[in-house]
Amino acid sequence: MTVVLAVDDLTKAFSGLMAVSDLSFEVRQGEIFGLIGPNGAGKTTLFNMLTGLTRPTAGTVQFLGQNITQQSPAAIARMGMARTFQNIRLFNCMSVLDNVLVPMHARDDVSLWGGVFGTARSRRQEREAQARARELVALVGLADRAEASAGSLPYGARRRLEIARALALSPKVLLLDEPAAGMNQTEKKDLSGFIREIRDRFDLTVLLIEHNVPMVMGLCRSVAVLNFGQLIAKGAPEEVQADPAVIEAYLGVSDNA
Amino acid sequence: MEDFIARYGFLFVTILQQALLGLSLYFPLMTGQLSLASIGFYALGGYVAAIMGTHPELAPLRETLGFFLYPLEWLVALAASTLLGVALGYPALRLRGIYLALATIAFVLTLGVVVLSLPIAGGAVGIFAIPQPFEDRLAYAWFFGPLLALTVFFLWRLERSGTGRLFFSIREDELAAAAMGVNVTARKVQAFVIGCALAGVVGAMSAPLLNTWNARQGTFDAAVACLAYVLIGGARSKWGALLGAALLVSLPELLRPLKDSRMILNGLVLVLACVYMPQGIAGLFARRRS
Amino acid sequence: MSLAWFLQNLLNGLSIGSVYAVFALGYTLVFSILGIINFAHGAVFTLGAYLTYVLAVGEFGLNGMLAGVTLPFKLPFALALLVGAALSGLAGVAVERMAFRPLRKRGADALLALVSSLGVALILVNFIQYLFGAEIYSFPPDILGDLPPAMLFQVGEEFVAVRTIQAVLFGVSLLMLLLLVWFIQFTKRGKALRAMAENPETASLLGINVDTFVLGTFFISGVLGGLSGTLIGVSFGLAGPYFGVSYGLKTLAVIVLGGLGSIPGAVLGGLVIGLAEAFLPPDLSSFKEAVAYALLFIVLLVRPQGLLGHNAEEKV
Repeated sequence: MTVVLAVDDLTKAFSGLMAVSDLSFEVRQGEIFGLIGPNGAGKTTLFNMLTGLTRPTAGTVQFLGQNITQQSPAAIARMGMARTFQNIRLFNCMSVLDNVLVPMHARDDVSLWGGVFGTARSRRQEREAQARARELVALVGLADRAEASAGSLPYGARRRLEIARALALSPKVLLLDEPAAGMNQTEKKDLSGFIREIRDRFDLTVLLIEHNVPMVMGLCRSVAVLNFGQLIAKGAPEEVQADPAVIEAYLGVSDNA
Repeated sequence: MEDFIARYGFLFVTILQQALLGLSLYFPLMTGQLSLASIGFYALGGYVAAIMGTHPELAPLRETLGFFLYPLEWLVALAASTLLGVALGYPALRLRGIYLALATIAFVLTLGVVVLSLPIAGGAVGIFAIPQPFEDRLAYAWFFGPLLALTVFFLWRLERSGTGRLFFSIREDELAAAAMGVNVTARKVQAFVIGCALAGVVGAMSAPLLNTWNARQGTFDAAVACLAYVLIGGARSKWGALLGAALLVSLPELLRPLKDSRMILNGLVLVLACVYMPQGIAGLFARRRS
Repeated sequence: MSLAWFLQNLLNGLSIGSVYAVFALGYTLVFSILGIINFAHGAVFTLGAYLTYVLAVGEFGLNGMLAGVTLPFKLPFALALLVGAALSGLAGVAVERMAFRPLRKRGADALLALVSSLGVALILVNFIQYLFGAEIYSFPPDILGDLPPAMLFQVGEEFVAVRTIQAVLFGVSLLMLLLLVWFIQFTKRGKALRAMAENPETASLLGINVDTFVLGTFFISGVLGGLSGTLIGVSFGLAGPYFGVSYGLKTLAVIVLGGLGSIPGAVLGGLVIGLAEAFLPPDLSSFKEAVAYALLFIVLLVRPQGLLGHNAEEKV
């Protein structure tokens, strides 16, 4: 299996405070890779560095064999790295369908004049994007709300819409930041199934930040545990779960284990 | 009757002109950026037209072209504004929020001082006796009317196109837009430059209307007035600028006692619009519809 | 390029720069606790100058609504300056109530507050124009009493002139700066103010009444604005109701140069701009106004956090 994402000695300091230090790991094609750790362990900071939203203080990120450490967020996204946000960041005043259309227009780098004057190329791009957006919206079960504004959706639907929007980038790697937050047990189980389904269907590699340990253990074949910005364990879920450092740092504190 | 046309004809043309200036602010606002630069480009466009209309060395050109001088002025103003807009936009639009607003204000003020010291722009007195294509001021509606219609049509198409959706995504959440692959700075510059180009052309059309052009055309006050149109009308809708301009230009004209306090009214409107209806008048309609 | 020339420009630059610093601190105080730029500050500056003028001279010009009205009394300049400044402080309080408080309660965007303060500036300036007319006012030459207009000091072969006004400008500004520093560093309220600037939420947890403090800050800011308006007015005349707005815009360059919200930055920025203007070669004097604007523009593009500000990274 090829390595899709390789993180090497990645470090981020916020005014002297180490949010992430010397982090190294690899993610292989088709994996569902779990990232766990207590709050403030640096998981979201890691996601922000992977997607270019935060500049690392040191270290490199290789994506599909290319060094993307200095790339802009938009360029990284268009290379096929898509994400969701912990605190859901949809385009609230835009419709469900338009939310999903945005990444596709961005990938197509749509022309302003083409759109205004309705050139053949623009019309074709628009037609294709619309069709695909409708598919994705249907995939996350929002077909009947396609015209509603994203902000008006209930919480769970917004989480699903964010995944649909990320999928619209036709990503190679999908980063999910606590996708199960605020969901009940049944919903979490459905979500696990859904993540596996999209992984198979779209040939994805998934990185998953999740607090819910059983969900991570059930879903991921490898897991990395962060604590205070440092990688304290990495490996198969069973090994990690047995690691004393992990038990002390995280599992021991959490009731979920 | 003549008196009526003289007074209200000018009013009507002014509304069209000011609405266009308001719309020039709406373009960057589509991407969520508050820029006050438009008025600088309006001044620039006016100077282009004023110089082309009066410079002695261009007399042969004017004779050959006749009425077609005016469309040529618009084109030159369009080109100049676009170039300057791109040159200003790329560095300035990396800034956000108040920093961008401040940078555009600084640009307008710097431009004002520079113009004062350029001999070709006529210094403090400005440029006089700019040739006028029409005797009747109402006739300038033939300039501004089609431009306004064209702009609204352009916006209507733009808002339904992919580029429009990209603009709005930046307005909604810049960071999320970047994470979804939107080339944020380039798209902001696009929106900004269209606004600049529009303001430049409006300036070029206004110079003949006003007959003289000087540094008072690009003041801070005028920039704030344009902002008032957009805000009272509603910064999230293209109709906002139209409604706002119509209201704020005509109100002091219709209510005579208000005439001297036009700027007080503008100020009051700004405060009230911010405090009580940040969605503007157009926002009221939108809310009812949904 | 003699020593006398240098000293003269240094003196001119420092005296005007110190007033810019005082004026700029009015913006800075408000920015540091609320994160907004109060565009009405320039209008309060105008108001202060006009109020002091009326209190000290007792007359209203020729064109405004109040043309020909005379006050039954004339205050000595020092007293008029203080009363004018205090009234400007009250105007600052009114600005807060009108333009900022409703937005603050709603948690509105800083940009909306900026626009709203623009509106207040427009109202205030045009109201002043309505009352006082658009003409130029200048303080009578004997406004400072029997003091000589200037003193000459010999430096080598040449002379350096210290205008009495310059000394007053510098002295009053310095006094204000020292008072402010003392207030912020050493009084209980000043410490609370700093706590609020650091973090408004913690401050309210500590039992600081946020509303009162915001109001107090606007009062101090208004006093600084009115005072600097008078000082500039005495020195250069009151060039119509808009003169404060243009000084206000110029002073934006001061605060951005120093770093928005930074108090030492505002002082440094004020002196830098004052000196830059003073040392501008005479044949470029028509660009004097542009110096500050161009600096503002360049600093924003190159180093938006200013000289003494620090770069804050956005939280995702």
